[in-house]
Amino acid sequence: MTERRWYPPSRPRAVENGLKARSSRGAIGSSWWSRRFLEVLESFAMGNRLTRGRAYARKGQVVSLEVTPGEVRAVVQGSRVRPYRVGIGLAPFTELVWARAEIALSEQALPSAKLLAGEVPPELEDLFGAAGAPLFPRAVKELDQRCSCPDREVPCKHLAATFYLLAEAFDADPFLILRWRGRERESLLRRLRELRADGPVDEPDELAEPAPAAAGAALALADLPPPAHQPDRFWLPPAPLPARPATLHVEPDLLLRQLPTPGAVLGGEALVAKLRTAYQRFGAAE
Amino acid sequence: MWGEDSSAPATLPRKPGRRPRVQPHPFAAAHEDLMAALPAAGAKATTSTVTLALPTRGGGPIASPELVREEFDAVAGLVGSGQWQVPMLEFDADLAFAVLSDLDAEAAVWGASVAHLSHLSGFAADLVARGRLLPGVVGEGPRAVWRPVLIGADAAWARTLAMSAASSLFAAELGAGLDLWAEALDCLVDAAARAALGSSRLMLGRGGDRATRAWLAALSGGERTFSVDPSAAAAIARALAEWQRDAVAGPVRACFRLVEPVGDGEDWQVGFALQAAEEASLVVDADAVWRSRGKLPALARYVDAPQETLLAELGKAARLYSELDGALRTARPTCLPLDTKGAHRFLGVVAPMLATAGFGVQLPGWWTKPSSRFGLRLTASTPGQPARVDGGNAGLGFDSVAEFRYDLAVGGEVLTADELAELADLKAPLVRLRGQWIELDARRLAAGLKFVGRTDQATVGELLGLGLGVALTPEGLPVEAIDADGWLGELLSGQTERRLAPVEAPASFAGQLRPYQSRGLAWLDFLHRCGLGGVLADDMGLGKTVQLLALLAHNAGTGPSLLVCPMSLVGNWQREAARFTPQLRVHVHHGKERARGKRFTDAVGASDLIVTTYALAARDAADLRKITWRRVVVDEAQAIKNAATKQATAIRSLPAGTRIAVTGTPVENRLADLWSILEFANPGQLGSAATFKKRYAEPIERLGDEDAAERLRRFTAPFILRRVKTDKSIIADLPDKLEMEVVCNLTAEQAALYQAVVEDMLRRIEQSDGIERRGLVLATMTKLKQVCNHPAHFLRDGSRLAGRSGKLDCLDEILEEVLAVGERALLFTQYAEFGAMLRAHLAGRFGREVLFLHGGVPKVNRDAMVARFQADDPASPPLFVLSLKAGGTGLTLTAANHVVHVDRWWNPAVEDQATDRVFRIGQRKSVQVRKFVCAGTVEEKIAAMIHEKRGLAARIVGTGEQWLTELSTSQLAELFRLEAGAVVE
Repeated sequence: MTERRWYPPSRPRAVENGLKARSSRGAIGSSWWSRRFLEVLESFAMGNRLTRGRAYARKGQVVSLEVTPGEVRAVVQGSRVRPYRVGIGLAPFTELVWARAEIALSEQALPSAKLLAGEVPPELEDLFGAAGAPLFPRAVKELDQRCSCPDREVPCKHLAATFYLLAEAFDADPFLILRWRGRERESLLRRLRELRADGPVDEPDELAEPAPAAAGAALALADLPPPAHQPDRFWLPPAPLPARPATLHVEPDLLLRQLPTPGAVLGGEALVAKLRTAYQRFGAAE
Repeated sequence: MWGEDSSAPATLPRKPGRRPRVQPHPFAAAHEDLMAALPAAGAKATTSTVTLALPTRGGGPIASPELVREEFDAVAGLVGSGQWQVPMLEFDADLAFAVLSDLDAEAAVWGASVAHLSHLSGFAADLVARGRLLPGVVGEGPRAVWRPVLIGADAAWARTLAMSAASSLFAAELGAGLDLWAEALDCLVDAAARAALGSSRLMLGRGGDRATRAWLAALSGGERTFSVDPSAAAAIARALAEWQRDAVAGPVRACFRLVEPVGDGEDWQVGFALQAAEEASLVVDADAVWRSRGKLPALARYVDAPQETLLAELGKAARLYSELDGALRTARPTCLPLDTKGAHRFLGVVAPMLATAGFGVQLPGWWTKPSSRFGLRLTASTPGQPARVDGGNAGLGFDSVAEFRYDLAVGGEVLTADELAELADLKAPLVRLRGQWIELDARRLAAGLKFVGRTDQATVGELLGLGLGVALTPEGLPVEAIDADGWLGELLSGQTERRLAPVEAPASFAGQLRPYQSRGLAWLDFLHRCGLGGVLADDMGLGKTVQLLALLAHNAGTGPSLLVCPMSLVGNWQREAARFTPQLRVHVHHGKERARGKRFTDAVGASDLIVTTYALAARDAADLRKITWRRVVVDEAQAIKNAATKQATAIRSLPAGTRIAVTGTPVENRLADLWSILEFANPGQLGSAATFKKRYAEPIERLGDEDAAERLRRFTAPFILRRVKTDKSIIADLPDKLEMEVVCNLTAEQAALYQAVVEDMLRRIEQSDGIERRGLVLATMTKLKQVCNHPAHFLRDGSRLAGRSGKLDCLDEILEEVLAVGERALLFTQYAEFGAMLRAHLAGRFGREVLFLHGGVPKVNRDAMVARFQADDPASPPLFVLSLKAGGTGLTLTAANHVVHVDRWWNPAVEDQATDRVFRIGQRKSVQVRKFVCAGTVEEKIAAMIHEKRGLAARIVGTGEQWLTELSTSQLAELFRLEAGAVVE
């Protein structure tokens, strides 16, 4: 790394509640699409300069990150009192390009199904490419990188840190890539529904939010009435137990196969591999 | 865990002044006693005290019904709730799981709440074994935990379990609601997972995040907390929630329906639909979902955006079933076309997986029907005929050799050569044959083709083994059916009892057999002539003893028979044999003075029937094995249901011509018991215990495999005769009311107490006369009856009840059968205090509510009890203890059809009146009345006098016990004397 002489060795100020990169070691980005995003950036010969931002991202120097159509905005705390403002512009697709892409999307259920299930299907990149709307920038000049820091190097540490956090944000919500390119999740889904229905459609009140917790006994009992404690039936079961219904035979690691790849902070596929040995032991224990 | 102590007083000494709000519990068990009940784990527990909210009346906590108390609570008054402080043992989750998984039924009477938690730990272990759990992070600290994932059948079972928890489980936090229960299951699942992982540790390689590695490591071993800063823990929690979101389905889920091809050459299809999770019948096809422009009226209650829901669901299902990706290449996918191979995989592998993951799955009905399977059919010709007269069974039995031919069959129909050739060409795993789809394993078909038309030889035992699948055909093909002619065909038909000509009892049998008993005799005789064993499992009250005695009389040939029964029934057998088969020479092998070695062999040589107990059969096995028994009969065969016990092994090792197991408890419900009992009757019939468990017990009990259940039923039915009272062919033969005297033996302790009471009386009676003498005689009578009931009834020391009274053992056996068939019983006693003991003992023994009516119960409570007992609800209390005085008249208790008079008033009119609580208008079942007397005691002698209407009988009837006082001292000594044979041990 080239450190300019006339700069005093700077140490960034600590940030409380900064957005920390969740993976503290190894590669950032656990899904193919966020890795692909970083790959694209690295292919612009930004590789070296990018790595400068990784430590920043992990330390939590990024105060906020927002993805809007055409522009990613971030606030990054550097060594000065005043945090720097970072902007990464990427031209949104025109309505015409979006219309083509949406028609292509609507002709197959697969991409929508995967997007809604929390994954970006590999076909998506090709599909957008064919519609004349490449998802990822093809040249570095498509990216308008701005930072309020005095460093003239592009990308600076602050921009680089922002790229890393952006990749992680894509992991968590694949629709963010499309939003950056100019389409909100809801309007995209409505448009696709219209195309499938071949005409205008009802507006859903609100898309159902997924349940927050998946495991724990309380979930299964949620709507049961509280037990009625009658003093004269205090000691006895309210009803004798019926016979237990049979269960189907499945492999003990079914749950692991059913779930998507866990996030980077959990170690991604490496966690699943570890847990799989545990589940096999569960199945063998009896 | 806390407990009650029956030896402590029921209430605290009253102190002046207001009662404090929280008081120490007067009869809670001390820490040391709790630890003593759990020798292994108790020492590791933490001791503390806890305040419980318990039902309280008259200033004292109401004891649990399982507590055995000398005095019964006659305290009237309103039941409220009070705060009571009790000593308790605290266990951490790992220790609690270990304790609950292995409760020692002998160490203490476990309350309903402990039994419930034990159930819960079994459920937790099962969830872990099936991988129905996910790792998580909770709380400050933070802690790494395993949590159950409850969907489908598991969620339903959890709800059932939760709703069956007694309030006593919540005594420490009555307001806590079901969250407390959920927490208990969570903790037990976590502990079960750690127990299953044992010493293996979960470690991520060097690459991972430090906090994640700490979290993962804390998922194994005993240490659950791991130290990371709160923000890192929160990040893990967020990532986990995101990752695990799809483990539970939302209110609407994708449903996959396998549809058969319509015409030849067409594809199978897996149709897509949306299904409401709570209303399985509410299914909307994908087609309709795509046509909708937004909301779907049918599903509007559950989802706003059905199209996106369907898409998301399909996306999730594709993670498990990658073939789905292919179907999603169109804009509005409605189904996945499959070839036959794909359909077969969907049925066998994919469907169970999708269903367990929470998706809806609908399969064609034939898939689960056994008739759609393909297998071998054996046609055997009978090796010889069963001998018409009794003269040994040479050439018959499991060892006789039969010749048979192989064919291939589906659903009971033999395939023609043309059909076979056609099938062989198809090479498809699912084929349509005569309009019916069947599963066809190409390898099996190829193997099967080699068999067609071949003939072979095997013993009858081997043939049956082939049928059951415990022995394999050379190519591993399942045998779908066995056809045979002659006696083997008769046997395999499973209809033997109905098809055989009834056998009348011989002239030497002093009694009349009912028609169904004659058919039972024919069945027993047929099996005997075939050289085979069987299980006589008729409902209680149908006269199993009589049928067996008739069999003994019918083929009274050479060689002794051995009868093994619980100690409590020895006297009964002895007397029934004397009554029905007076010519049968019976030798009872029991007691300290029993014949051993040469003397025993001589005694056997001079007898037709040897009666002994299970305990002695095990202890004296060496002597018993020296005899080649013509027949070994085990009565109350549940005693050998645990195949591995010393008792069961010893009894199986006895050499015998044929073996009969007698039981009134349905044996087919618990398959391990069935194996053990049939292994006794026909050794080797069901294969080894391990094979049986793998092929039958687990598939049927855990997976609900109908195919295996049907096969097992088909091949065991010939050896089990079970007729129930409600059978149409039986009910007509049954009397409306059946009265029997049940003769119980005394335990050694009872006999010793009995002797002491009699000697004490005889010593004192010489010095007394007039009113004093009368008082002494009546008091002695009362004491003797108490001793006959139970030592604890006489001693009034609140001591342990189980295993000390012959009557109580008899009662346990009878009630076990009553409860097993879902019937109800009234139990009458003259003594309210004994009634209280019975209630406590029975509630603990059977885990069911036992009602108790005595003179101190206010009318309102009595009416409520009657109403609850009579209610047509399976949850109603099935047992009702009544004191003869309080419950003998006026009440209608027709929900019961069993009456037991545990002790006697010697007044038939009073007893009949009590019996009439049950035997009256509204009774739809045949009523069974049992009157208990103890063998060799005053009880049996008075009963005999009444029977024979001799001597004093006329004076006895209707006068209660006053007449006793008029007897001379020598008459009294004679009447009260304990006869030999009273004790069997």
